[in-house]
Amino acid sequence: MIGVFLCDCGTNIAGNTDMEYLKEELSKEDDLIVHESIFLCSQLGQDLIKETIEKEKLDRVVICSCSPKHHGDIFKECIGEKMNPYLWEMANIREQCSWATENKNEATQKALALIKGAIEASRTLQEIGQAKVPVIKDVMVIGGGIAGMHAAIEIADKGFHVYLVEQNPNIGGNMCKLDRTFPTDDCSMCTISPILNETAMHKNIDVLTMTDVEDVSGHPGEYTVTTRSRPRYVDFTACTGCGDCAQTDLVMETPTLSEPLWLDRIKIHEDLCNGCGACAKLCAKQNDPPALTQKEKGAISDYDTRKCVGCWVCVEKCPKKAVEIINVCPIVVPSEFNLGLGFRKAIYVPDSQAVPLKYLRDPETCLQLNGTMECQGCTTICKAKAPCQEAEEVRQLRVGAIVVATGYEQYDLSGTEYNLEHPNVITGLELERLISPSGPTLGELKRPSDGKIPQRVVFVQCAGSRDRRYAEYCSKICCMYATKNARLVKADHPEIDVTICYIDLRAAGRGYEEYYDQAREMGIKYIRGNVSEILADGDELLVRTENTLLNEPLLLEADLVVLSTALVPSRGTKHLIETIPLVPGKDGFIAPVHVKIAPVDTATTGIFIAGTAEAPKPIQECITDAGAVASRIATFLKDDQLTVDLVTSHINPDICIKCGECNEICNYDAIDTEGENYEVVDVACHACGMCTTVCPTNAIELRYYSDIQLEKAVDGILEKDKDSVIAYCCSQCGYNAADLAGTAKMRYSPEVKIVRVPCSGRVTIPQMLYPFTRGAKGVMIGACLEGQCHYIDGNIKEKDKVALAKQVLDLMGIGGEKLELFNISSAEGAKFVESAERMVSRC
Amino acid sequence: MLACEVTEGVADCTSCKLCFSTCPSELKLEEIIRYRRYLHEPKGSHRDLFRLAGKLAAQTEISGWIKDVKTNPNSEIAYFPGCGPVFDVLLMRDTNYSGAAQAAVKVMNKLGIEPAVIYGCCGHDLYYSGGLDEFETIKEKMQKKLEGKKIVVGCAECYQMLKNVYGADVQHFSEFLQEKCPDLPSLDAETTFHDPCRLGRYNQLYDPPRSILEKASHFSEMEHAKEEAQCCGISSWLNCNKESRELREERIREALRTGADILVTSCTKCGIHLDCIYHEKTYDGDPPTLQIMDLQEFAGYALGVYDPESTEKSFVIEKAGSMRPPGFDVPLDPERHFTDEIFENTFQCTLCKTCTERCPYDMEMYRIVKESRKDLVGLGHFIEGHQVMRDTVLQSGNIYGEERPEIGYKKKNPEYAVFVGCVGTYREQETAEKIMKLLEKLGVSFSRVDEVCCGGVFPDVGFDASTEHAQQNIEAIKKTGAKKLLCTCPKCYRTFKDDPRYRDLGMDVFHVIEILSKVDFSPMTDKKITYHDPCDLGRHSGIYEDPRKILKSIAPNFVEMPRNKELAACCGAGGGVRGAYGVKSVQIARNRVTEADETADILLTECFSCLHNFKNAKKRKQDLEIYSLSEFIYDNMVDDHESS
Repeated sequence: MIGVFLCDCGTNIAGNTDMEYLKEELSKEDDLIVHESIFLCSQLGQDLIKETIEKEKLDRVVICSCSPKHHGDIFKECIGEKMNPYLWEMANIREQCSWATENKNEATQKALALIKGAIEASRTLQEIGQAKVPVIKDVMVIGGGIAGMHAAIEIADKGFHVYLVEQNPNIGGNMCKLDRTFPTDDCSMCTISPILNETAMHKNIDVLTMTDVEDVSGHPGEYTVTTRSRPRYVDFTACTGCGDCAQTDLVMETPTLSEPLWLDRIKIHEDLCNGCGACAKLCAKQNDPPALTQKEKGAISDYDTRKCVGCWVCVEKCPKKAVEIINVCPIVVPSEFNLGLGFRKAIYVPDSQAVPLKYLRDPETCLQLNGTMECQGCTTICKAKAPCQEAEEVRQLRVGAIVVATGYEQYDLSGTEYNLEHPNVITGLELERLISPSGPTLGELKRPSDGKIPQRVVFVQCAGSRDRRYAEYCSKICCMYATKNARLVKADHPEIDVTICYIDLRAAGRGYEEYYDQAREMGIKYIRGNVSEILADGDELLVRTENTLLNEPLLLEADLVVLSTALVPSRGTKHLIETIPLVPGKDGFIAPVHVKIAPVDTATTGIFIAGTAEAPKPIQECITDAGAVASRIATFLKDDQLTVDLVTSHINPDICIKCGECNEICNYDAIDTEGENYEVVDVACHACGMCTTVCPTNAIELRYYSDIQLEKAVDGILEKDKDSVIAYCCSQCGYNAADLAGTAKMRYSPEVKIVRVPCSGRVTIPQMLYPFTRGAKGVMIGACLEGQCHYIDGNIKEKDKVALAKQVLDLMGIGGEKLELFNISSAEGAKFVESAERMVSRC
Repeated sequence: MLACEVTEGVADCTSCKLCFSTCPSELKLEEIIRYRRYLHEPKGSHRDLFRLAGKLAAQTEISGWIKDVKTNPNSEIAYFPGCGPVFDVLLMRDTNYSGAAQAAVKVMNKLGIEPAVIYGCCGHDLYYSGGLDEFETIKEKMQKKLEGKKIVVGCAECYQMLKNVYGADVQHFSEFLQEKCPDLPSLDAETTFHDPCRLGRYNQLYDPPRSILEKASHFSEMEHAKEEAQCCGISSWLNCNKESRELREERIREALRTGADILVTSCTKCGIHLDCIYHEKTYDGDPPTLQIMDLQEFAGYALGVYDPESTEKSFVIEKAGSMRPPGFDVPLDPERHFTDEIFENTFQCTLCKTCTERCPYDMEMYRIVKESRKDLVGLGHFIEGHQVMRDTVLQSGNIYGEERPEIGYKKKNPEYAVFVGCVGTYREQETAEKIMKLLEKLGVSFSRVDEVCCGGVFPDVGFDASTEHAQQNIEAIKKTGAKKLLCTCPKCYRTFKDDPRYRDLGMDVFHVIEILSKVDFSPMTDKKITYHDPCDLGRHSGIYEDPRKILKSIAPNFVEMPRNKELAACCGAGGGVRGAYGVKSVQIARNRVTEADETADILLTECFSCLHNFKNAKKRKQDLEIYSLSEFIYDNMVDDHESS
């Protein structure tokens, strides 16, 4: 007997579905027992299911309610108490039916078809067992910003060993660059400093700086991460961070360096020099060509820094001690840490407060490393003999779980109406450096073009945010940090005229509104208007905007313009999306598996997200994320073994001809071809099912989502409604997009009926053709966006198969247009609706 | 209800018809298979892809696809090209199986003929793989298209369908070419030919392809050719597997052994399946490359109108319409496709298992026949005599409906319980008596069982056997106190060994011949003696050497018949055929008796049924003596021969 349980979901389903009719229709079948519940997910509803399984000795259960993405796990657990937890199916009659359909009668008919599909599919289900997988109790945190560090500490405090991987020379991320933080105005560095030190000193944390993640393989509980560490060219242990190697006499007039400099290394004090010429002689003896030459006896030697290799013989041997070292390293370039403002040497630490405070040499600019000369400057001056030759180090680290905390960066607005090319148009983060006491101007607000203190500062909000041309979303933190910076500027220089141009002011958060009120009271002007253009007038700027409250166009004069630039995923975040199967949202940030109820879980089990890799957010939310991640990881890794459901592929050795097709298509190396028979390595198999599409003998089959299961789902649907477009939707994106459309009450034709598949790449050509042989109107496939397949490239491979099936449909006079693959991200409900409608219109 | 199961073996049969030549009843076993595939539709390999394509084709119209040829819709001569592009597109292998059709039309063009091309699906795969409802639609369409046309066909499957299923006026391309172009230029190529079953064993079309190859190349024959040609391994895309791969590889190797560079065949499917090995991702150069070419391609090649090496595809697909297939949801109706032919093929099988020896897959076809009979009985199609027999046994406990006689040979604490069976108890009492005496003489400790019919024959003819009788027999056997069971009838012997009703018997089961083989006999006759292996002892139980050990000791002039042991011909009595199809049964027996008569003076066997049928079939002019082996021993045994 099959138990069919209909959920009213209050009025969510029953309000737009004739439940009585469904019961009546379903009760006509002899082997069905039909029950209705107002809320099936409630304790009462679950008890009903469990009691019925026992009382009626049910073979299978069909739950007709919301999306399996929503309450699937609840029902799985409930049913699992009484029978094998894979002997049931779920008909999604809420998101994909009652919410998505205008007309109640149509919704009812569609629900009946979906339920019938689930019933027929359920008949084919087999019991699925479990396997135990060993768990590695080490964790990798990728990204050493505030979220990553905090997560690392929290996880390490729980007793797990953590590798903290950071691509920069120092940890701390963007927060180290901030002057003060809203809404308390406390010094950012003072807040983060203890965390930096705790991270670096923690006995359970290994910090790997200058390290990139190259590859992640394995499976939940047992990942192997390949990392590549770039050399520092300064011995990490030996360097004491004393800074002798980087000493300089350079004082910048303006915050920006117009070009890289090659400074003099030494200064000859005229008052001490007696013109003996010893320095030039010694220099000539040691170096060819010499850097010091004496024109005539008694004259002060001429010095050519471009020939000086820093042997310091002149300094040591000058009898009058007239030669002084002013720059051990003569090379000066803009500071990356300061976003191009200020400078650093070729041997440097990013910031004087950097953790770890260990110097490094930049192989691009270091005269010794880039082969310009046999420079000995730092090597001879360093008492610890730290500068050295080093090679890249590649490591293979085995970890049980991974935290992705790779953060954000600022949208590059070069070449736009914001005139970022003008030196006096800066970003918010650049302003942070200009007002930070550890910044290039030591906290003195000087504008980049001429170092003058600006008298008129204009903040431009939503520069790139909430703009379909750039970033469609709100970057969340800009209203508050611009307000904070405006306040700091005003507090230091009450005479400066500070204006903030905004679209909407979003001050939701504890103490935020009060903070904003105070800013207004301080005399900061808020103009409600988007900035359309920033014009240059020499060093001065003209900001074109509009006061929408007064309905008047404005052209504001400014000495300095600060852009509240949109926040976008960092390069590191984007790199990881390509490296690990992580699902990005439409905004490009890593999407959590559920934005509300699983905000730090990703679609890949064992991989979690924290901080701004997920979305723009303030520091306190990053900390919350980090704590949540640590808690999730502690749960995930608490046992020595993980239990894995064997929903994987398996091979029938009696049939398999060992042709190698499955091995070729598998992205996870999950087919063991070495033994007598081909075998699937269960823990490596991701159950995407791509292997099943290429096997000529049908020897390989998924235990769940088997051919027959999907075929019967289609049969059931078409039995009740031939006028259907079968939509095979991948459970990663297409299916979620449809759910999202339903949740947003976007309506689409009830002809479109979804059959869930693990990956679009699992849909075989026969599965595309089969519905046509049964009279369906069309077939669509909802796949992830290209390059974003959860199983790496299932959707790309599927595209080829679709093209072939289209040819056959053309040959047979059906028309290839009746089959289409749509790339839809899980966030694109509207695109799903549009695709569905397009499909219906052509079938 | 819950699982979707396919009856074991139904998908295996390639319908290659190799079995036909050995079948004593000359049955079209493929007809039984076809019908069973309708009842229990199996899935095809490649995820059922090509059967689905067939089902689509049944509901649609295939548009024209042959590239760069001259055709004339009004021509008297029509050409039927098959479905090359479907394979080229869907196999994802960068192939050009469509080239065969293009080559054929180019050859026709060269000969000054612009044929009408009839596009469509011949329906072969659906017809042979159980899609009979869909096939009906194809048949209707095809017959309309083919009406009144003289059609040239190059594909063996299409040829079989057009000629024998649609009854169209068909000529195979090889015959056509022989007729229109008797002189072919010769290529400097070594060729061999793989006979597709649909062309060869189905239609005896062996020579025309060979005459083309002999003219146009250096042709050599493979070891297995014509009637003996081995199967390409797969039919109708069903059941590609390890064994089929072995068959295909062996066939390739056989072709390579001829020294040929080109293996020519005349069936798209044979070509695809033989070619498959070379497309495997794991192909490592072994077996060495062999060019596999369709006969039409070869002809085009020889006539210089077709380049088999070209990478250009021979088909072009253009969007031809936007029709919506109505969809098939005709519920399964066993009567719809049931025919007398299916009934007769099913019930004329003697279950002798000879076909298994011939089958490339060693399929136990007799099991499928038994299942099929069971299904047919369930549908109300059975031989009345079988039902009467069943009722008789249910009432009387034996197949003759007679009162059970007093059963003698009772002994306390015997080693064996002896089960004689209906024939020995009610008809061949004399022979049975002699066997009992022989056992006594040999000092075997036994006691006879108060038996009822073992019921073994009923599952053979599609009926259920009585479990009560089985229980009764088990109790009676146990009542003797013996620990082993000894049967005189091979059928009873097998029943006790294999029938699940006797699962609880819990003792070893022996046939008399196994006991006799342990005795050392002295020679008893100088006459030429031969032995017929009853299928129940031989092919079904593997007992070949025990009787021969006895025979060699009692008859120095023991000789084998040409067909012996595994290949022994059938007596014609088994599987209920003697009762249902008496004439046929005797004819089969007569063939065997003649074979024995030509071999020896005396025919011995060890099965009441065989014995009985041979005696009936023997013609008066034949002076062959026919006995049961044990009876013969008893009759000729001198007292001092007893020992051990």
